Amino acid sequence: MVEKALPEISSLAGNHLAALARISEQLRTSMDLSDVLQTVFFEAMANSSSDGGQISLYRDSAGSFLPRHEIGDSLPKNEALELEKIVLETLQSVVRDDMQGRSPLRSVLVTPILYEGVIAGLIGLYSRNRDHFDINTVEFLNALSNLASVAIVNAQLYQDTLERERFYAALGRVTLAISATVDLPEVLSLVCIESLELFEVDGAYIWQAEGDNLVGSAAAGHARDRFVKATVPLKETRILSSAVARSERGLISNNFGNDDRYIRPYRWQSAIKSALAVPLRKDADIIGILELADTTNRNRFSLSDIELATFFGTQAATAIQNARLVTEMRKLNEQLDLRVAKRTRALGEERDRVQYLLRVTSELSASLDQDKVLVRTMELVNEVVNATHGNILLIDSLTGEFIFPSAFEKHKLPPLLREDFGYRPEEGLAGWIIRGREAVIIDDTFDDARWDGSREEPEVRSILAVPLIASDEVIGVLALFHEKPNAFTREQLELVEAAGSQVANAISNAQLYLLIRDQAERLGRMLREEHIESAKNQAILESIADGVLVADASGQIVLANLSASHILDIIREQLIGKSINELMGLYAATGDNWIIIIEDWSSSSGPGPQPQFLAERLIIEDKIVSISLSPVFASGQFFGTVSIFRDITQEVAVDRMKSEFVSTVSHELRTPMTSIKGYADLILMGAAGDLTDAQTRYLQVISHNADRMSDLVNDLLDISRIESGKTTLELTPVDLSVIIQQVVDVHLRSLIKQENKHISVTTNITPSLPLVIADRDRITQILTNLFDNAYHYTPSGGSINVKAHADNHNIFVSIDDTGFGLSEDELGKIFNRFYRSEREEVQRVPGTGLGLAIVRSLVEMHGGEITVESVLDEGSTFSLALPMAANLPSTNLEEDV
Amino acid sequence: MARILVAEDEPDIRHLIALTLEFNGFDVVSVNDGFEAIEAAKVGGFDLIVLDVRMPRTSGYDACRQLRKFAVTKNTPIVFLSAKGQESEVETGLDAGADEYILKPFAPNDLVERINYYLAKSKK
Repeated sequence: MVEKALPEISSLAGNHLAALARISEQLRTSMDLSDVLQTVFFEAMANSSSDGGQISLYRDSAGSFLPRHEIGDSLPKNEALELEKIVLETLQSVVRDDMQGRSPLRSVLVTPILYEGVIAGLIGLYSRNRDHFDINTVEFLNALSNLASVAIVNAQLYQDTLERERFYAALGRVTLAISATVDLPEVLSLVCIESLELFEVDGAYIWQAEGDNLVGSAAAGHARDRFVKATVPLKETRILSSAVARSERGLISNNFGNDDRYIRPYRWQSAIKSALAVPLRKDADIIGILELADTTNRNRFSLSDIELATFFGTQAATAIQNARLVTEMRKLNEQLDLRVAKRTRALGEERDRVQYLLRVTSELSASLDQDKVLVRTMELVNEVVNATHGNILLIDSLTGEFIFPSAFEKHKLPPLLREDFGYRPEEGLAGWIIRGREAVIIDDTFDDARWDGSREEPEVRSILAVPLIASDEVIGVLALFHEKPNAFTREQLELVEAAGSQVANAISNAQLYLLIRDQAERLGRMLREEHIESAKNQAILESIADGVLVADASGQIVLANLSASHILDIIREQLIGKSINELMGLYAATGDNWIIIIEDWSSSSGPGPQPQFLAERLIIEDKIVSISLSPVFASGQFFGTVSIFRDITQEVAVDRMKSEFVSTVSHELRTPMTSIKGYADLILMGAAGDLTDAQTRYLQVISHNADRMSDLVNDLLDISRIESGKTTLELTPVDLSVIIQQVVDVHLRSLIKQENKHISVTTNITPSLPLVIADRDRITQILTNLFDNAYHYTPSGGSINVKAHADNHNIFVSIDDTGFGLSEDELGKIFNRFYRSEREEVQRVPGTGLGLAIVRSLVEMHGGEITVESVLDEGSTFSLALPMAANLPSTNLEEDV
Repeated sequence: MARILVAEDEPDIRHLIALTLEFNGFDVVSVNDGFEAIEAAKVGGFDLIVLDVRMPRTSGYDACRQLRKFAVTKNTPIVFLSAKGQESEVETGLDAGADEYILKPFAPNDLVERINYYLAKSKK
């Protein structure tokens, strides 16, 4: 092989240049590939005086050249292939000018047609002469192939476009035809039949998955009847259709009958020369496999055939899916029709239907988890809408925030979230929907400002969302998402809206039901608690020993406890509802007094009466009962009266026993003392003979101490009687000045005389002192006691001064001495029972410590007052104030002079 | 010499009263209880009667009430000499018709003084 020297420019500029210009002009007007190829080829032949030649196009799919035009002698096959190979490798023209062999051809020029450095075809020129192709010819052919490449590619593109247009036009017709059919087997069959024509093949088959197998569903052309029901295992990747199903992409076998990559389980498959299979894809799902077969040609399919078949497969899949849906819808429809008919019969009117819905929803809510119901609803809705995921957002009526009761994701278990995730209803797309109360489809989130991909889910491309409106209130949003744009249609929106209103009503009803149930439970609980509380109170009231009787404002008995019934000796049923005055006369005068007070209160409209304790006691058979009465006011209004009865029979008995005991004890003490004192005195009298001075003195000690014991017993009796309220005053008009004078003259002076103690006594009594209503004996007792004290606690040489005067109401008596006096501490205790000063001079004086306690009690019984003033070691003054008239606690003033 | 009937169940005290009165110049007849006192007194011849209150068979109260019914003792001074010193007991005694109610233990001089007082009073 010899490389030619570079051509001279002049040689190309000659006839070749003119030819190139002409060809260029010619090619510009033609878009038909055959025309272009023909023109180029003829011009090449004509301008090179060749004896033969050919023009071929390169085919990517086969990796070889396909001859389009051949003239004259042709190159032996092996020579041609070798040259083609060299051209493919070098991408440059090849010249051979001294060929040997049986072929008459001796010179060959092969030039690649390059488009942007990629091979598109080649031109081969042959001559019987050696060294036929000079440098000029090579240059010309290079230039020509350059011109041709552009034209060829343009024409190819044009033709491809035309072919695709034809294909798509055909496809459109086919799809229309298929879509017009909704019967599933018919659609499958149609897809196969149309495939034959569309792809110019003689066999078309549809496989569909059934368990672990692919099963022949429909076929057209070759072995049509044998294909249906053919079954191949899905996992066997050496079967073409299974390999496609698993790889989810189209595959070609251009030598199917002998292709080692594949096995052919059925005999009829062996006749197939070329095979192509693509998945029938609907969105992410593969619903079947479309297989095309050519039984005559090998190398029948190219990559673009896969592309076209895949596209057709998608259309077919949609049709198939639609047919499926329609079939399901038809079934659903039939069921729905039945149900509608049933429900219409059962429910009749709209109102009834609402009530039924409420009941059904309530029962659902009570028996089922609301979340599960919602998820199920979403899944049902999505069977038609086919979103990738979705959710229901509800507005929490308390916080105003969203709660997330329900979500689902296709092929996954739905997550159930109820926690607050801080998403407020006024924000985001949901907020927009709630404000606008309007359903929305967002075809592409990338182009829609309402969807904030940065804070919401970025993988979402399409959204269909409807507001959930119940009773004119937006309670939430139902949203469905798809990761591809334009996934939702207007029709789906309408369906979801309808479902949304059902969901909204169900949720609203369920919430209402929950609310009512909660309310009922709370009321029930409160009632129970109140019942327990009142039972407790009742039990307490019943268990207390005091009788409690409540009369209302009109005097009707509204409540009486068991004790009241026992004490009043009337069974409770007869007490309740009775008017209080029906008890009049049953319990003697004191009982009537009680009733009269209650009636007075009931009829009085004045200021509130004060609680009272009736001094009188009721004697009911063998019981002694005390009564206390209390008015009841509620917000300033007289409500009624509470009477408390206390059975004091026992207390009275105890009291009596106590006084009997005191009486017995004092008697038993006095009897031995009588002997002691009596015999001592008798001996002192000389009844037993003369006595020595010592004997006399000792006997005097015995006698004196017997007197002290006797005094103590008397004082004890007194104080016990006063305290038990047994001491009553015999009130008469009393002249205090007379009594004072008597006590001073008879008692005090005889004491002084008897003991020969130097005490001066002065009296200073206002003349004509008014009379005082008092008990003469008790007043005498008081004064005697006070004078005794003054005398005993004043050392010899001292003085006692008595004064008496009166004002309009009281008579004042003061007894002033110059005795030991009292310390501050002693002053506070001097009237206490059994109190005696610790001081030695006081202790020397015999005493019980009861005298002043008795004095004070007696003074107070008279409505008077006794006070003491004292300076230690200087003396004391006891002052007595007695009221002139009887302003006394007791009322038994006796007319006795 | 005045003749005095003393009714007292307690022997020591009965003896004490008798001794005290005899020592002061009275003629004393003493008995053990109220019943004996009535028996002795209705015969007559006593200037004054001293009764204990609490005595077996017949109490001083009952004896006093009886004696006030008999003509011979109707106006005879009766003095109770008792250890029972409650107000109601004193009142009961006076209500039964006694002239005086003296509490035990008694001072001999007081007793003699009171007896002399009633003797003088009844002589008028």
